[in-house]
Amino acid sequence: MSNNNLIKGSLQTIILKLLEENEKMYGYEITQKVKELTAGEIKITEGALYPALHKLEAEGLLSTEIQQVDNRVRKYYSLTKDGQKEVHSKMSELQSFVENLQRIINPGLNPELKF
Amino acid sequence: MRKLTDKELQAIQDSIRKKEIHAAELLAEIYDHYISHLENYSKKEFESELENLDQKWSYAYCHKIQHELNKNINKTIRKTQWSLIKSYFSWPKMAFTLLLVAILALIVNTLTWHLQVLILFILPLVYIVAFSIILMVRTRKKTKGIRALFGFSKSGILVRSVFSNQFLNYVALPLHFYNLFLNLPRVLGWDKYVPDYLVNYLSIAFCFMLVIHSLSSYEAWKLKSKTAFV
Repeated sequence: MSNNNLIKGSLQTIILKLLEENEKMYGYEITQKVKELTAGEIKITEGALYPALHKLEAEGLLSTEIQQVDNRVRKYYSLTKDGQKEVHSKMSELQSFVENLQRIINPGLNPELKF
Repeated sequence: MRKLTDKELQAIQDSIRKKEIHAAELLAEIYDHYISHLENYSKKEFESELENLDQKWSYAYCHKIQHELNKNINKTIRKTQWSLIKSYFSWPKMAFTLLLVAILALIVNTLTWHLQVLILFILPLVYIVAFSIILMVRTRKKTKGIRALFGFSKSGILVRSVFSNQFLNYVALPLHFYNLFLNLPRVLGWDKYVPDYLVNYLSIAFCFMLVIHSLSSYEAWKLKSKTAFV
């Protein structure tokens, strides 16, 4: 499951979900958390992560906080109220997409079956 | 995880300088990313891992992110300011807006021309200039650390806050408006054709917009200054 296109399509959902569970995180921490949770199967590249974080911040879904860490500045991201609402809608969107994908992959499955 | 040596930190800074980034926000984020990553590797692995990072954070990629960051920060400020402006037209802030219009109307109808110019135009413009200066000073203070590492003296690049740049553009917006609608007609001699009563209404409208714009800019700055280099 290391297909970059598949990850790209669900990157915003991954970020929002992680932030829902971890309150606040910084960029590098997000890449490491995803790597850890998927046993290295999914690697979020910096090339995709930072633009996605900046975009979510501009859309008002994430807020930022700057902290001084060992003589350098660290930018933490956390969910705004709108972001918290968005997590639920993105998650149900993803859930129904996965269900439909399962039905396509396994045509023999009962279409009414819920996963 | 280990603490990086001064020599290693210097090597990281040199690598990042080569990317010629001017956005303080991005420099801070890349620097933290590099250090957070390299702290997980031994001294032996340091060089190869630094090279790996450099390949991921290529010159072109960094400039692409910088360009998008500019657009996103512009969008953030516009969105914040617009939501603040909208709040002036809903209760309880609406009371202030109505009071402001009433005061402006009173000023226009009772004061002499010279006092009107002073109160309606000069004071808000002085406020905008003073606000811009405060903004620049605050930003310089907040970006001092980043500028010391990646600034002009080290890289020849003028490191600045994108937030601050965009804010200054927004704050200076009324000055362009002032030139376009007040100075330009005067230069072209069109002001003779505008009747006095219309000048009064235009003065109120201009001053009203100026005050709303200044207040919303100030509030947006207050909100963003908690988290940004501004």
